[in-house]
Amino acid sequence: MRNSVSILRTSNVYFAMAFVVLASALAYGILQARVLTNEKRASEDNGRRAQEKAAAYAAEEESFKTYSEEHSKRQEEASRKLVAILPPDENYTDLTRAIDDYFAAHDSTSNPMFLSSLRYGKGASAAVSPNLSVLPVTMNIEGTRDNFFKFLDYVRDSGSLASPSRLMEINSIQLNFPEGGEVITNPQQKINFTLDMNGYYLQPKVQR
Amino acid sequence: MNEDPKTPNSPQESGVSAPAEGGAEKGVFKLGANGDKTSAPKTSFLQKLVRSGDKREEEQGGENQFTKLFGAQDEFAPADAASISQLLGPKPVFVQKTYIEQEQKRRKAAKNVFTLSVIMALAVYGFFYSQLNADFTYLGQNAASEFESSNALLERKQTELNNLRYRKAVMFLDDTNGEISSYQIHKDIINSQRSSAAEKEQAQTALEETGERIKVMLAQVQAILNESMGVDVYSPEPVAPDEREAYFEQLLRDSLVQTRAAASGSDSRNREMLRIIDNVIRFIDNRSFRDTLRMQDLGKMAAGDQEFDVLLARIRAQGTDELALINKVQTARLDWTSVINNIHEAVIGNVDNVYGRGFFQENGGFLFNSYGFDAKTRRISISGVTKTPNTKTFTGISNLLEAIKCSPHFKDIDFRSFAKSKDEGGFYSSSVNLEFALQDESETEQCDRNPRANSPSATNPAIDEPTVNPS
Repeated sequence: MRNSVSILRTSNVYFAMAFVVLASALAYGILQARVLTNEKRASEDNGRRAQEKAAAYAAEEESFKTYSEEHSKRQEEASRKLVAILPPDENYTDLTRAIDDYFAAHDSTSNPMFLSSLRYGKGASAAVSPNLSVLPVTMNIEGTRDNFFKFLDYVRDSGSLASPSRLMEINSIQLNFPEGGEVITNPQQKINFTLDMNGYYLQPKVQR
Repeated sequence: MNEDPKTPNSPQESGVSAPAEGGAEKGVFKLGANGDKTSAPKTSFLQKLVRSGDKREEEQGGENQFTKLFGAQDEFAPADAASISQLLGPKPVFVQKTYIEQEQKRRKAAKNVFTLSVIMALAVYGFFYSQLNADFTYLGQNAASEFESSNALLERKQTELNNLRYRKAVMFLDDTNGEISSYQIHKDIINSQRSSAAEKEQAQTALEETGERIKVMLAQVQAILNESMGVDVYSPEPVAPDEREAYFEQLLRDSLVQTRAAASGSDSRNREMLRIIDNVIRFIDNRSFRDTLRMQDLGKMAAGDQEFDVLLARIRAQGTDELALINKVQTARLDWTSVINNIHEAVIGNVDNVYGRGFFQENGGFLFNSYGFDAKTRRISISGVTKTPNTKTFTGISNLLEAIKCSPHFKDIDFRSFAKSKDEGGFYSSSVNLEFALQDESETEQCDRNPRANSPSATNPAIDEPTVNPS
């Protein structure tokens, strides 16, 4: 039997371990309590901001709906125009009618314009885009200088939503002046011209 | 056995100390075998020394120096020698069993305290685990899942708002594209040399009005683009603004893809919605275009400005598939009216300033009978005649060649065979068959000679001014 009591006796070890465990639990609890408090505050803040966003959405939705309806009507009209500008296939019958209408509207006694021949080739892919195809068109026209330049303007403006007509371009022009050479100052001077053109349409989805 | 631990037990028992006088324990110490008063302590050296003196005294008849000096003393009775036990009080008693029991109780208490502390620690851990682990849903929604839900709700609300705004932006751009067509037509009328002054004035007014409408719509698009797509969300790590924007872009994209997948049917409403959704997705993916729109200073632009035209061209190119295709064709095709006008400018400005006014038969100059234009090869052919009242017919042709060569619109002219004849009227005439090419604005062919300096008009006033036929 010893005279003094050992500090490392079992009960003291248990007490020490209990102290360590309690201290750790306390420290852990304090840290986690902070996290918990912050998360609760963050949740409240998120909820408040989500309500603000919902209110902003409700306010903008009304004006959006009104504008959307008007826009839909405009787009429907634009879609119809786009179908006329870029039809889904060659549609040369519509093009023929459109060209005939043009010549009929621009032919007059004082300013004649006569389409003597109209010929279509076979459609092919366009060089400018793989999503487009071209329909070759050849026309022989007898008209005046004024009507010639008007027709050039007609082709230049083709494809516009403002005045929807089939999108076209001129590949080549052969013009000659049958009554002695060119006279710039005479808009009624007779011109015979041959146009080699392309009428565009959308590349068909299914190859024929 | 004495049950009172504080009173001394039999000498055979040891281990528990009896309290000394005054009650304070002095500790455990060894006692003699008997432990009673008759036990004689060990004789110390001093005692031996005294006893040896006593022996001498006895040998000398009991006299010593002291007795010699002070006389014989009365015999004294030796005091009773105090024993250690008397001095120290009752023998302390040490009980091993009691000590062990006490120690066991203490250990048990310590174990209980430790167990309790472990239970409390587990309870603390368990509580916070149940609250801070979003996957722990056995007790309903906890703080962590509530936090995640609130984050997801905020992201969802912001995405819905972005969805609404960007669909609106695409609609504005669609309408802008519609206005661009009118704008282009008005511009063509203004730039056309065949338009009258009144037509140009009317077109200019219409152009400005269309330009203002376009600017109003683009300003609306800019306002939408200037709003941040993202919103700050609580996260463990800090998020850079670019990352936040990219994240919400992706959320919007995913939301649109889901909407697209859910939309079905072939009626016009669904088709229109699908078209808009496709356009919004394309708009979101095209960040450079959005940045371009955002950075434009619309206040400084005016209808008709080149900067404004470039912006509209960019918008048209980003339009719907069909509009983008139309724009491609329109951009690539040639304006033949301008080409013909450029030819006339080259002739009139340099070699024959009365060309095409009907004075050829009387005064000579140039007369073209036919033109040929080819867009694929970009080549032009002109056939005609030239007539001069003097023999310098070839000079006139050379001047024309140089005028075309030096024009910024043409290049590659090559004419090497000259022939002329004299007619009955006294004019010298030559046929002219020219071929040359169109020149891009970016190309500039070197042109050293000034055609006007060699113009025969300096020596032959007949070409500059109409006069009576010399014949």
